[in-house]
Amino acid sequence: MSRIERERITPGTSLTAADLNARYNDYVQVGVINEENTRDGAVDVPHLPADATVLNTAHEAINANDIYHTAFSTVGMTLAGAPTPTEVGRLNLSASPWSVGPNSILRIYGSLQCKGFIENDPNNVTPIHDGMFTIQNYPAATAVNLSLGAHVWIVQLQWDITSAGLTNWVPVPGGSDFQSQFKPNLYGTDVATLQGCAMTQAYWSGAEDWRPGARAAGTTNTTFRGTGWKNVPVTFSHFNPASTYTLYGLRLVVHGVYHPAHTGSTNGLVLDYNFGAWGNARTNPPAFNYSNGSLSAIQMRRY
Amino acid sequence: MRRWTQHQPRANHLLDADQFQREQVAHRGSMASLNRTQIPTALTTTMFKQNALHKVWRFTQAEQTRFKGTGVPGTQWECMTFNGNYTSGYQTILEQTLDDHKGGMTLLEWSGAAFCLGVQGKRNSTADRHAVERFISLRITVNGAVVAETLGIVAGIESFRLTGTALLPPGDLTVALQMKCTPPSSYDVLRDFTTNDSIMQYHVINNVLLALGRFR
Repeated sequence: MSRIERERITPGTSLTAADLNARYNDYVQVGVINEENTRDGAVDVPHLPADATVLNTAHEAINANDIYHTAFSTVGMTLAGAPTPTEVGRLNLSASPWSVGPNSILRIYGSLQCKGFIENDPNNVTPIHDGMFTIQNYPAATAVNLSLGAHVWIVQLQWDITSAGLTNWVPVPGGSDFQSQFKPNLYGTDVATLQGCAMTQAYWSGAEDWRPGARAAGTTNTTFRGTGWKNVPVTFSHFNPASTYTLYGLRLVVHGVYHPAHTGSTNGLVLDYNFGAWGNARTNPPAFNYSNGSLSAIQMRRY
Repeated sequence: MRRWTQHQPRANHLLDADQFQREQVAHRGSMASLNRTQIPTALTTTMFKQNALHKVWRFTQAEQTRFKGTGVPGTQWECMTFNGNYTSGYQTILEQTLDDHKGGMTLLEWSGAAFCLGVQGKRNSTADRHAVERFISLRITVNGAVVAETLGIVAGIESFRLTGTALLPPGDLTVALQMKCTPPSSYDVLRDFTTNDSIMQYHVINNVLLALGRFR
């Protein structure tokens, strides 16, 4: 319930013009429409100026005409050194850049149709890549190597807040550039710096005819397959920034292939170069296929 | 902008006991509250105080830490293993307060990435070869009531975005992010056959909870 925060008029109270005007001003003063003095449904769209709650919106389709994935593109994996992000789509705001300041909320939503390409069996081969463990073979009780299936591609959001030339792309706040080594000689980042990053599985790995304790006849077989087409959602929000910045553009980049790891009790993701090495001597390493998608941005007030 | 409609008092004017009463009657609706017809059609942003119309909360969590088992190899995450303390059912991995919520329709959005070990996809005989169901379910609750729920990640690591809306009451509201893991079956891989290490089973990382409450 709304209220006027002023002493009530009682019999005998001195009545003055200043008091009356002050009471009138209670109804019309600027800056005091707050959560207490409007009733449900009081404020509707016709009351509001265009920038009352939403300051800016923008949307850009990525490869919009490829709904059947007939003209998909491919990003290769990093086989040595630091990752090299590949741009897969952008939202260009340079013609009318956004000023994002305190009391703003920036919400970014991206999507990308993609699939992991894999041609060689990651199980039971050398060199051993990350995430391998052993299961019991049958009929002989020997060990069979099996992969966790935890390799991922990273779809990462970057922005340019430097110039309209869109040549200064950096990760959004809270996101790593993956150019540092999380573990010795392994580039990656810890899980605390993954803002703006989405992950998608590189392949599926499994075991057929495997049974703990050898309950039935048969032979243990490991198996794998690439993933089918799927959508990876990218979500990012920037809440009440400390200082005003100008947003010239956003883009999605892809890099990989990463695998979970931990150092001490800190979990992270590191590049797994060996993942591309088995089978046919890197002639056709795992890759990331992508097709259509989108990138949307909303800037809101905190009112 | 609203105007005096009956009589505008000025300094040195004679005062009339009914003067304010008439004005007060004219503004009676406003005494209860400003309603749709009384608010000026040209509201400006300078007239609003912060959070007058809506409020936004944002919470982040690098990873769930409630179920974080050790004894896994270095090329795996310290996370929920079946050697850990997970029991069953939905378990809260992040709990936060939507403070000073004034009541109203609220959008809740949970984004992150989750891992589910899915390698135990097939069982024994050729005639009985099928996938063993294994997934991690996720849901958002507010004051214990479910707002959104999904079966979530089926195998491997995948990012997710779970959204839901609810008409919430005023007050400090407790929002919880919860996960539920399918329990191990007799066909699951629980430990490394050679080293007896625990094997990572489930994890949720990069959690961001965004709540937008529209009050009016």
